[in-house]
Amino acid sequence: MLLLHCPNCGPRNAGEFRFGGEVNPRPANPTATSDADWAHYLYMRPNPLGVQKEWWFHRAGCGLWFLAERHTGNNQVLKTYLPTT
Amino acid sequence: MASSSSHRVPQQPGEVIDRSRTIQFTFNGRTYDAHPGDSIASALAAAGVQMISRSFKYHRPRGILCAAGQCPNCLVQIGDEPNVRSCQRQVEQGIAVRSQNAWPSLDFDLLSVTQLASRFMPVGFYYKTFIRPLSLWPFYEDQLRHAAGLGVVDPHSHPAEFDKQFLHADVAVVGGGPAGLGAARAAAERGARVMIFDENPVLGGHLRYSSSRASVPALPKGVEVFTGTTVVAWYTDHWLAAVRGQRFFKIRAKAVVTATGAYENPLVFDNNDLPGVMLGSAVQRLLRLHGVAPGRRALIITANDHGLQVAADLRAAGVEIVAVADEREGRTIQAAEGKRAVRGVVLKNLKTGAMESFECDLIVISVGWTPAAGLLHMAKAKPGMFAAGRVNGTHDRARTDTEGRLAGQAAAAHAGFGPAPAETLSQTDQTQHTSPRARVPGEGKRFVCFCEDVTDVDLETALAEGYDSIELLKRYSTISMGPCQGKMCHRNSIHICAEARGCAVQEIGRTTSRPPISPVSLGSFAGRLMEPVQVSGVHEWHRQHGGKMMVSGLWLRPEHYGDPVAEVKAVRERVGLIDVSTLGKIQFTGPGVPALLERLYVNQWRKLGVGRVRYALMCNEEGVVVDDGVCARLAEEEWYATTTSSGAAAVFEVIQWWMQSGWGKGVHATELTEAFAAFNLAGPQSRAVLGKLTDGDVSNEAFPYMHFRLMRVAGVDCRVWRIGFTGELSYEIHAPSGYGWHVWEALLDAGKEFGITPFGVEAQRVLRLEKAHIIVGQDTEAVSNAIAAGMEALVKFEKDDFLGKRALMRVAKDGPKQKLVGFQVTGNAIPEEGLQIVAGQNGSRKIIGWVTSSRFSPTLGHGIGLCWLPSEVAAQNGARFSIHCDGGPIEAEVFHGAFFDPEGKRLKS
Amino acid sequence: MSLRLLRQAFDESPPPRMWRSHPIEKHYDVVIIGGGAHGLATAYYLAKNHGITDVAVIEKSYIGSGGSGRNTAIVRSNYLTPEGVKFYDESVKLYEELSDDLDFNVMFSQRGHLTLAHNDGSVRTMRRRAEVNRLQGVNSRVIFPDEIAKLCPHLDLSDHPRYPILAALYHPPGGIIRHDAVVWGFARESDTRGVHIHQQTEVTGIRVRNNRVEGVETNRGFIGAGQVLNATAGWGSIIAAMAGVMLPMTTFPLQACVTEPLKPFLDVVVVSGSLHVYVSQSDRGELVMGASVDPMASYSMNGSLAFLEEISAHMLELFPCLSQVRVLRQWAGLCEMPPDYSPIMGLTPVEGFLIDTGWGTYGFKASPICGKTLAELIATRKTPELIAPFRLSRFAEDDLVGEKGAASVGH
Repeated sequence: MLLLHCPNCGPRNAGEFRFGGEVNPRPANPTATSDADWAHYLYMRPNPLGVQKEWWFHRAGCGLWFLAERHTGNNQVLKTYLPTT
Repeated sequence: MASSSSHRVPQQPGEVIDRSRTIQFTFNGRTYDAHPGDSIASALAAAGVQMISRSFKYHRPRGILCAAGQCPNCLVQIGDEPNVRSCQRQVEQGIAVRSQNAWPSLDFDLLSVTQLASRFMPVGFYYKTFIRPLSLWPFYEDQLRHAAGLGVVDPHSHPAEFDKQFLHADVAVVGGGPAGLGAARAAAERGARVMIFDENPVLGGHLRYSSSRASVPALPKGVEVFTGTTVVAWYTDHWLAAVRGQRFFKIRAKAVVTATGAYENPLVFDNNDLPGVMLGSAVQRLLRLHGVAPGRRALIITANDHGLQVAADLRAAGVEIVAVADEREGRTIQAAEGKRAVRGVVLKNLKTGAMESFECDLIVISVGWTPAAGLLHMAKAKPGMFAAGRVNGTHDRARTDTEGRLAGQAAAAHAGFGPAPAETLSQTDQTQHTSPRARVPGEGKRFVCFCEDVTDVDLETALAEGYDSIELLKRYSTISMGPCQGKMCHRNSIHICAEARGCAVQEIGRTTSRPPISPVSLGSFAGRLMEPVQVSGVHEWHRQHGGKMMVSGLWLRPEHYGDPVAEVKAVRERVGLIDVSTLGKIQFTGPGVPALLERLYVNQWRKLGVGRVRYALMCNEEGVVVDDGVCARLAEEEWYATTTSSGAAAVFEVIQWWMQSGWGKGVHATELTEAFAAFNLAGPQSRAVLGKLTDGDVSNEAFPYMHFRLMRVAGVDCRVWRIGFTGELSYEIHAPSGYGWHVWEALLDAGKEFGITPFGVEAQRVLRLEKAHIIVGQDTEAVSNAIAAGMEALVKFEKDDFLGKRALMRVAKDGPKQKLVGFQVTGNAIPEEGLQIVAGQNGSRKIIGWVTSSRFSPTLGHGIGLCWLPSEVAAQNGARFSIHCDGGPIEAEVFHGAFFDPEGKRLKS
Repeated sequence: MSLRLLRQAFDESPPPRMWRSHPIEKHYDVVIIGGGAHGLATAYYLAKNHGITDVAVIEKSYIGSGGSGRNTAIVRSNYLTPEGVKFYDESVKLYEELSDDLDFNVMFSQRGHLTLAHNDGSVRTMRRRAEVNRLQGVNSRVIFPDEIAKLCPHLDLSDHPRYPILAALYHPPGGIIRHDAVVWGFARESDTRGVHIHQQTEVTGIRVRNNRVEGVETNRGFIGAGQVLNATAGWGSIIAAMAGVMLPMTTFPLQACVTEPLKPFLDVVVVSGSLHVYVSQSDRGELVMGASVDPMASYSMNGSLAFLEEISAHMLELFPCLSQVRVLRQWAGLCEMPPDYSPIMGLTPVEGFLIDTGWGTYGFKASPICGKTLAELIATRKTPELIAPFRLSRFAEDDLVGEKGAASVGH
């Protein structure tokens, strides 16, 4: 079972977390976005075989949403960190 | 009648049997003696029983081959437990053991006639036959299915409980032989927390029965020892799974030393599967551990010194050694002879080709080893994984000790205890103990795979047919797909494959090692069956008062208390009380709340006054309805919202994501679902009931519809909403959970004089439906946007930005293709939810919608419901349509608005 | 008894090869990337129905090494949407004739398929599926515990389970099949008709010029192509990206496991959406079990312990008598999941580059109809009506298919 480092709690079993999907940046001005671009944002995904930036939620722990960079081929997690807002 | 143990030999040092006691068991109905400590197989061998099972495909006689739980030849059924490895299972007084896959008996198995047809059953034969006529395939298939399978499932089997345990180790050592013991000692000496696992009842590994006669090295105190424990898999980040009886271990280790030894290789020659053909290590186990000599006249086939040692061991135990055929001297075996067990052997001189026959009843095979490297393959060179001993190909004792020590030190270092060892071992040739020869060609049947009865000819045929990658070969011939999972056959199949293709062994590759290394029962993996259940604080009250509980997500809720129609009538005519504690509840605090709510929900919130309530609709970025509830402003910066019961956790997570990724400035959100019990008091008399329990002003002027008050109810400080989905005057009372039962009973007590009735989910459904309220997730689904669902009035497009706005802008522009709309039936039939609405006749008949909610309305006296229809049909109030039903079409018509009290006079009263 | 078997029994010469190994040509009319059931079915129907044989199937490993060899071999057509039902029903019909067509026994066993409902919402969905199925002429109906007990006596139909069984969708034409045999049968019949199957050949790039596909780069050189079909379910996004096409999918592992062989006792395929588990008993006697896709997107095809723990617990909730049955092996395949749980087939913005993707957890059962319709598209350059709902442009058109209700652990 993958060991994931929650930025708050430290290394925990992956079963404590929920995978939140590839980072998919939201268009800055949705109202001004075209139908085509909005559909692209909603549905199209790179889905790479390689390092992917993604969201994780510490569901059975501190309730933090954080980011990870993980290689989707061998599941090696390179880093986890908080989003900068 | 007990059989005499005619194959027992005098006491052996280190034997595990207790000769002072004798117990009995039955095998196929016949009674046998055993000593405590005997395995079923060793006890049978002691009694001279050689045939224990019949093979999968050809029903050939089979007996002990490995005595180590690696091969399929000794599988038996004990009571309701199928596929037990009799060489690994201890005899217990009175157990009834039966052979499998043989009918009518093990000795006279009718299905062994399949051997005669073997010419017509080459590898993959079933792909080439039974094709026509198509109608007979089910019959043929049934025959195939009945011939297949080994053990039998007993439908009434309910064995003991299984449980699980977590372990945390700095260094986990798998294997308690000399290499593992050395590693455990070295790691422990550095202060690491060491756990050592071995599948045998005591540590020592092969030292317990091989002839080095060295004593088993002791371990330092503090090393945690798990014997009788099989490590069955390695998973990511050194997460190991192990089984000991009915206990399952999940182990997180910082580093792992694999010292799991090696499998002794069978040899492929004519009749190599005959009972009486045994691996050298099997003979040593039987001899040393159980005091059993599995034959009287033995012939040794060897390619290393191990075989010579086995010969010496047998001789010392009084067994006649008929001959020793050493491959290094140019001799090997050509064929085993016998019908049900070994009676003789034909040896071959590899130089001259000359054959020689001998009589014997035991053939010992010692031609080499294959590392038991399953865990290493699964870990794929992950840092923190170390290996030592036979699993590394090392058989020399001195080198084994060094490897163990270095592996232990390296593992401890990896776990943070001391530096990595500087000493390294040179690569030496480790292969002198293993013959590269996998088979000896011949005229008879030579089995590579004992589990699936795959011969070398089968492999060659498959290769010739084009299944020439090791993976295709496996899938087509089914080699290595049986109970042994390749332990006895994979290595030999690779060598035969290489030989047939004329290439190097390395070019063939190998198939992927898959967990579990040894088969593990479903019960072990499952442990105790613990499914979480959520219940309201008043759950017991419901059960005690006739509540029929229903599954509602993770919750159990009362569907009704005996008569849902009466419950509906009670609410409409008098007053009812429903437990809605399952509702999700979220408290939002801070100056940023209105802005956040406006972004999360489609509604406007900024201007909502203190003490006011608004229905809340949440969509996702596709404009699809994901949740609904109500939200109240308790104070300037304090808001309190509800969500659907099933959506609470998910909605809270989503809200947290938006907050934590940028929208949460000035807001703190807390989930309070379990903190508050919630009850909805509904009906014309609800004000009267509530009035009895509170000093607060519950008049319509002081506490209007869609308002919120903090009031003391039955002495408890509660949050009270005046909302109503049932269409009646109603109050939703949220009390701190600990007081829920008290408030519930107080309400029922106060309502007695008004004829109050508790009502359940079913009545609530009917009441809500009479008001045409939708159920998110039932009337809407994964593709239903807010406009199609008829909620366009709630969507405030003038807001800057909110979830779903952009998508809904498009829907508003293009118009939804389908709309959710109310209907009433014109006749008496009540359509079931899920029925389809059709238009057109015969060939042009099309599905144009479907019924999502449907009930007979006791209030109105006819059927009502909600359905999806094409927008243009839904737009016409009164438009007729036809619901397809088995018993004949149900006619219905579109109905806009609430079916009952469309102006909402009752709920605003 | 097949003549072929008789001949092989007495013939000393080597048996005929199933598929040959050809040198790679410089150009093919059609290059199909992916040597699984879909790719090979397409090649077969191109040759058989349209006489197009200048076709190459490029497979990076051995044929059937992807999803085709890893699925749990369930074939059914009891889907939720009319377009889905129609599509899969065509596939079932083709499967019914496939052994005869390919002269290779794919062992299609239509023993019946049960989807259990454990709460009223599920029962509603089963009713809906049954109605949609029957209106399309597909045999499905809702049954209740008394009838379920007759079909599957080992199921616990009492009140004891945490989620008692309330009803089931019974679909008699559903069943199981020998998935590898489908791959091998299509491969042989394609090869016989002149299609080139190139195994151990990996596509490393797709050459596009002026928005038109020119061919594929491989580890064995460049291959020119008139049309290129991406039939690499699981890796569809990666291949599509080579042509500059982005797809709306995320790839997740889907795990499965198998037990030791047992004498036959389970005659039907049993699925439980609520419990996220499904099981069937193979002709060899093993129980083949699977669950939902993994929670974490990944291209790794390894099994996990959590899967074995959860599936075992759920299996024992359904079948309490199986606690001593042993799991032999676990594995995983890859499922690329689009937002509407329906495939993405046909044209892309790049001319000559076609896709056969988005197959999620429901791809293997569609192999024949997929091959047939894509062959038609490739041959006629017109999208057959049956697969029009699955076009890539539907996402931009906001016209998604609504299959989520039927695919949730529906196999």
